[in-house]
Amino acid sequence: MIGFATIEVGRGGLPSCRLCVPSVPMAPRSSADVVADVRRVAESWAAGPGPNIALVGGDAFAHPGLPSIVSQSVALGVERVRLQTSGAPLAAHGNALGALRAGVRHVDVVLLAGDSGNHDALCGTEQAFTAAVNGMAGWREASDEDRHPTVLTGTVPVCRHTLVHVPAAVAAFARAGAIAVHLAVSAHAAADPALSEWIGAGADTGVVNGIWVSVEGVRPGTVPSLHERSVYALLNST
Amino acid sequence: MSTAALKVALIGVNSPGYRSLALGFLRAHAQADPRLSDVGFQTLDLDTDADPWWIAWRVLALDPEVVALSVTCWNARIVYEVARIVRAAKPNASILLGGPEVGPIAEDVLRAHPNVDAVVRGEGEITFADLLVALKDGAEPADVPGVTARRDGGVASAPDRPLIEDLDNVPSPYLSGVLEPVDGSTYLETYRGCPHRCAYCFEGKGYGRLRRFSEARVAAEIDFVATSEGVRSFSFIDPVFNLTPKRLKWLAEHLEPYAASGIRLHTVEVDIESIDERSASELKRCGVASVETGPQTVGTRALQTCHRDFDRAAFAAGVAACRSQGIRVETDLIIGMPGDTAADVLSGIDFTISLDPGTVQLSTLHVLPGTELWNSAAELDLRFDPEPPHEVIATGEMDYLELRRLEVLGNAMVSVYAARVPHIGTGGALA
Repeated sequence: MIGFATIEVGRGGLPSCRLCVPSVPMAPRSSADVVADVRRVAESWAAGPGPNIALVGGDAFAHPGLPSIVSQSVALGVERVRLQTSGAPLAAHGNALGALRAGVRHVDVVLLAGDSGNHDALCGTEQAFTAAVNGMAGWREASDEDRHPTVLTGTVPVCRHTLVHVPAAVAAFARAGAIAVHLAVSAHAAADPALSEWIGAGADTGVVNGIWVSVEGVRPGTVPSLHERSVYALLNST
Repeated sequence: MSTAALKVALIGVNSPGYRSLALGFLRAHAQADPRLSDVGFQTLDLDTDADPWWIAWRVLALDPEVVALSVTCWNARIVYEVARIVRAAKPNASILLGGPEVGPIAEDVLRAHPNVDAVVRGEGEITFADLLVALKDGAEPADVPGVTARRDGGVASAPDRPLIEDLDNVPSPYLSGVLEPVDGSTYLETYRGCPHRCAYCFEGKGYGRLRRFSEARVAAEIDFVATSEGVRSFSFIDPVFNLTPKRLKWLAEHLEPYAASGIRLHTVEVDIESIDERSASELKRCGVASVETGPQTVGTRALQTCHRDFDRAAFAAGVAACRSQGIRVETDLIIGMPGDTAADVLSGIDFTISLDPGTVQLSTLHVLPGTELWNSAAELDLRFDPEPPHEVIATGEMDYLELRRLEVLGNAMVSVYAARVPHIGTGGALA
């Protein structure tokens, strides 16, 4: 399994359930600090093929120094740069192609539901779902245009409000061309009596659509054990 | 207007970008047979993504009396549909099949497919030529050694035909002008058979032993292909390119001048565990840009069941030796081997990715006619689709659901590996 060293680019800016955790605007870390972390990871990489980094903590596209961070990462020898985003910035003109050409190969988009009505209501932003879907389409188009192997994955923060939307969210990611979805289940959701039905339906929706669904935060036996396995490993870089 | 006594159409339905070397051999041998000097041959190399009705249109436009199709597990469904359409449109044409999908189960094929007249079993060159002679002369096809055909409302098989002792007696498809060398899709065969006996594989085609074309013949083919206009890369279909150190050295000496001028060999199959720094250097002298290899599985039980050796350290050293010479390595893994658990498959994926070979390829087991797995499937509790391409449905260790989950997970893991910015010294190809 490919490992990615996590490097925080800031906090906030990603979709979250406003009924559980109010979303906050992105507060970026300094580019110099981020690049210093990248350098440390690149110089000490010993985790198999790589070095690989995952820029986490917030919507990477909301970081004003992102182009420089990515290009410096590639210059330092990083082979796989992974970003997490709401997806919307990828729909903006030139962003997807620019990120790709700078060296980004892995994009992870956060959705709370599989349709605009529920996703927009849960995150509290109008048109957020449509923008995310358009962004994912933009990423696929850019990948096709430049003929680079790239990866689109998804994350669904599963709380008791988003739980019922898991299967539809997985289906939305499948339609967008994602290869995998990670379900990060909160403690509250993990205690929901309907958990196994919704998570199981989400996992099965993934398999029949050829998209892997990994599950984190549930008791063993909630889903077939294979689904406890992610397609990548996020490594703590500190 | 054609003056041929018999018009024969040879039809290859190939993976896109490939041409049928087997049909090239069949035609080169038949054309050189003086008994068939009044027979006209035409070859159509078409792709598996072509519509069967369109393929039939191309075939029927040739107005052949004999239609010969090469059948693998990948094109079999299309071939059977083409046979059905051609038979309906031209009832008097003889429809002949050959190839690894039909040879080992010839009688079953004829019983299941009433539009097929005969099947050529095993090594085809001499049998096919003799069958054409029989058709031309009005003799009984089922009397031709190596042929299974219809007789008296039933199906009859003539005895097997012995293997060709001297392969040089089979004319070269390239040197005879049957196949024109084309950049990237020209393949040479330097021997037949396989040194391995993997239970899932039919690459050795049951030949049982290795037979080689002479060095002079191989050298002539290399010289012809490598100096053909527009050809910058070609390859070999041999199951093991690095068959012996002596042979590899000979190939390197012969190929080195062409490699120096920029000719490349793409994707030759190798025994990676026998590659050290020296042999990797020989591969580079040959101009090898990429190699393909196992391990297919790292699971102890599956390795044992399939009669495969696997030395983890030697495998890793072989990959590293190739990479140090700038040679890309494509490692292959199979999901659904008898004896493998999901943990074994994931262990294999993790192992191969950890070597950073360049490419990791996953496929699902196909239980091929004529293989040991086909013959002992029930004993191994191996369930598979009886229709081609015979994909595994369940094993004694994994049910259908787990196999399908594993396919999705495995392919996603491989995609994550493949999506990268290659840096010099790790992902770069031979320039």
